[in-house]
This record gives sequence, C-alpha cells and structure tokens, in this order.
Amino acid sequence: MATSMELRCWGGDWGLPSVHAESLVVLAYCKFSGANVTVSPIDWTWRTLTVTTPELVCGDSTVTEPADILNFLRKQRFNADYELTARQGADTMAYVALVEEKLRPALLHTFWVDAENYANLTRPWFASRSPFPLNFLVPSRHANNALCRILLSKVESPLYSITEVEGKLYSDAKECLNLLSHRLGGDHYFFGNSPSSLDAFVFGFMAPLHKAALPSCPLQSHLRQLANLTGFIDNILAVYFSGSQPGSPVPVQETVDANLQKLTQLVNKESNLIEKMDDNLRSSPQLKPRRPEPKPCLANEGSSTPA
Amino acid sequence: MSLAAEAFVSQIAAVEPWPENATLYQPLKDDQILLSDCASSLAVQTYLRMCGLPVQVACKANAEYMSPSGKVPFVHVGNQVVSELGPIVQFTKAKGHSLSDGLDDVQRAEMKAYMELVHNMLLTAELYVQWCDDSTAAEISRPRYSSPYSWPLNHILAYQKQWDVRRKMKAIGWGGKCLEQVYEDVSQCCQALSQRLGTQPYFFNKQYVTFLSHSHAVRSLPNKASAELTNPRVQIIIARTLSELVHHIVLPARAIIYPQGQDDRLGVSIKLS
Repeated sequence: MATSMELRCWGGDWGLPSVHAESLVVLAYCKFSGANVTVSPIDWTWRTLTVTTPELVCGDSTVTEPADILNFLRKQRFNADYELTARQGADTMAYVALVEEKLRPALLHTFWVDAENYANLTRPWFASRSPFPLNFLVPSRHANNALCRILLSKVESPLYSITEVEGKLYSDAKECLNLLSHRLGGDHYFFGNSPSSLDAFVFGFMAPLHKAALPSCPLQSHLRQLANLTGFIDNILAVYFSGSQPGSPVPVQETVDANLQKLTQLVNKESNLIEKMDDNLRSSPQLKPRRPEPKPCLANEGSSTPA
Repeated sequence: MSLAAEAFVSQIAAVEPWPENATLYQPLKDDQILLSDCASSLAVQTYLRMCGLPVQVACKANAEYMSPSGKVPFVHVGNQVVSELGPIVQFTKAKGHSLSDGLDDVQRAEMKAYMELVHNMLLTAELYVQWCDDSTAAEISRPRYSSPYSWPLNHILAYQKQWDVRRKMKAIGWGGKCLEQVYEDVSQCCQALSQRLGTQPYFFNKQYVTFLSHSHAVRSLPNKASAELTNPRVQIIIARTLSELVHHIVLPARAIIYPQGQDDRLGVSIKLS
C-alpha cells in the first residue's frame, strides 16, 4: 500500500495492546492480515473527546466502526478471510452477530454500568488517560452511552429498569461463551490453522474480560472456566502481540504462499474450463465448418496449461 | 422478563398441556400492520404450526398495548400471556414441544448464531427502512401505524413511535448509516443465508431456523403492505440473492401456513419467484 494507514485507538494495559474491545478487534485483524498500520493511541490528547474509537485514517478518508474498517482493509487487499469457503464466510457473519447481540451488552454492563467495577477500575483508568479537564467528562460520557445502549436494546418495556435485565444479560452472555467454546473445540482458531476475522472479533471482545482486574465479575470467572477460550486468547497474544516481532512475519509469509497456491489452482481451473468450452464448441453442429481452425489454438493452449 | 419470572412461568407452563383455544394477537392485517410486525407474527405462526400446536389469529388495533413487553405478536395460552418469539419458544419447550432436540452442541451454536444474524440484520434493517427513511415513514409507516386512531392521537402516536425507533437506531449505531449501506448489509446477510442453506430443504435437520428467516424473506417480497414502499430495492435485493431460499422454503412453507391458498397478500410474490 502506497498511502500509510493510521489507527487511532485507546492505549494498552493489563497485558493487552489496547483496553478497548473494538480497537482490539481492528488491531488483531491488522496483525492477521499483515496490514501495515501505525497505531497512534489517543491517550492524553484531546482526541479522547472528539474521536470515536477505533478510527482508521488513510489519506483523506476516515473509517470508523470495526466492521467498516475490516471491509476497508479487505478492499485494500489485506484479507485474512481469503481461505474461507463461502459457507465459512456465512458462519462468520452469524457468529459475529451472536457475539455483538449477546456478549457485547454484558461487557458494556460489566465495565461501565456495574458500580463497583466502574468506580474501582474503569473510571480511574480512563480518567488517568485523559487530559485535564476531560478526565471528568470522558468516562461519564462513555458510561451514559453504554447505559443508553443497554436500555434501548435490551429492556423491553419502558417501565422496566436496568436491574431487571441484569440477570438475563449475564445468562445470555454465559450461554454465548459456552456456544463459542463448543464451536472452537480443541482448535487453535475457529476456521482451520490460520486466524480470520471471526477470530479477531472474538479475541477483541473476550480479551479485556479475561485480562482486566475486575473486582466483581461472575462473567470473568465463567470465562476462566472455559479453558479452550482462555487458551485461544493467550495463544493470539503470544503469537501476534508478544514483544519480539519474529512471530508476525512468519504467518504473513505463509499467507502469501497460500495465496499463490490458490491463484495457481484458480488459473488451472480456468484453463480447464476454457478447454471444455472449446470442446463443446467444436462438437456443436453449427460450428462444424470451422472445425479445422480451433485445432492449432487448442494445441497452443495445451502447451500453456501447465504454467 | 427477569430470570425469576421466566422460571416461574416455565414451571406453571409445564403443568398444563397446550389448550385448543390458544390465540395469537397482532395488529390489523389490512390497514395497520407494518412489515416488521408482520414478519415477527408470521415467524411465530410458522413455528407453532411446525410444532403442530393449534393457534387462532386475532387482529386487534391495540395489540401492541396489550402485549406484556410492548411488542407484537403475543399469544394468550390458558391463563398466560407470552410475547415475542424467544419467550414463546421457551414456553413451548417447557410444555414439551421443541424442534431442536436432535441438534448437537456445535449445531446448536450455529443455529443460535444464525438466528441472531437474522434478528440483528434483517429485522433492524426493516425497522430502519420503515421509520428512518423519511419518504417511507411519511407515506406508509406513519399513516398505517395510526390508521385506527382519530386526530390528534394519530399524529402523536405515529411521531412517538418514529422517535422511539430512531433513538434505538442511534443507540445501536445505525443512526449514521445511509440507505445504500443498509441495502448492502441486507444483501450480505441474504447471501450468507443462501450459502448456509445451499440446496437443502431446511437449515438444519430439524426445521428450527427456517421459520424465522423465511418469514422475513416472505414479508420482504412484495405484498400489499410493502408494495407501496417508495424504494422497493430491498425486495429486489432479497429476491435475487435468496432465490434458493424462496424456492426451497418459502413456497413450501406457504403451503403449510395457508393450505387452501387463502393468502392473497403473497399473490404478487409468485410473479417474482
């Protein structure tokens, strides 16, 4: 890519490159697909108030929202889903919808609405990373947004309050974690041996829950019981986000080789198809008079196919 | 409903069998009901018929206000009232009728994921097109929604509902989307469903997921309610990408729900498929 891409997101802590779930999704995808993105944390700048994280700046255009950023990266030919079949692509969309619908509200509640976690962990962290006087505004604004989002999407009647849906929120989230655990099984990644966008989404949402030092969180203890999910998170952190870089170039190389292989297979398939079409044309009654002509062409094609 | 209330309802539900006079309530069919409500109602009806449970459909102008959660449809079974598909499915499960017993864990995970996809993407898109698109809201949604009421109540209720839906869209991040992006999302969702279905008659060996998705597909095909949509592109997108779905699920399912061919609303849809 000629133009450089800059990703603005919240900084890292607790062993993670970023504490913000959506920023983590984008960071993970960039690592998986080999995109060269400069990460500029918005900590201690006025961007904490003005910017919706994560935000990707490429030349003149800015893209927000993880799904849109991933689409943008795919269009720039950074595609971690290249090897997925169409059905696996469909499964990806479905599981991402599941995570966003069931897991994300509970995470929002855990970090921003639950009084103990908010007072002891979330607010001090975000306040300490915002410049004065924003440290008074930024955490409360996020908390309000989170509460609004949960109330409007989960609370069914306008007369109910948040306390009535808390139990349902957490039971839905636990069920979602169980379903993800069943789907992952004993594999390293959700589809085969290389990570895809679904892995990025699941990692982004689960990693803060796993790593943050939350004072009271039944959901965290539930996640820690699912050994394959915690292993999944630790594996990605070790391979892609460890301090030493040798881990990252190797997957990129493998992807390039795999891409080349796929291209070769496609070219072979295409030339086989063209041969078949030619055969059909030759045997078609309308084209019988032209039969002598295609023969030399077919000979040429026959010699170029093994390429 | 809170967890304790749900457990309580399940316990009571398990005691009695399904009665003969169960009734499903929805807004008025011809004049009032909107696309999204129609889809949800169709989903519930199909599910109950697939389970073999008899239910009568009653159309009432104030169905939305009678519902315990404010959403249609809802069923009145014995002395209990349950609204929305999720709770209804749990309710029937407590009574011993379920369509997803034969699924293993991975399939169950996939099923839930696809249901969330349909719910998240198609239903939200329907709501967006109905209420956040100004021309559709002004010409179809508001007049239809408020048709049973007299002035000035019709204006107040219609604008209140529109404001509600717009606020919800903004909260979940759809407020900044334009119509083209919504169509793009719907198209991707339909392609995903079409890929998943392939050429099988049902999504999974049991028929669990089909009812939800095909109900949205069916409703999105042109019918009386949506034929007047000022921008019928969504129907064209869905009809094109969901050709497999239409042939393998929608048409046979219409035969399940409307065995005597009574439903004239879907008459137009045949021309497309």
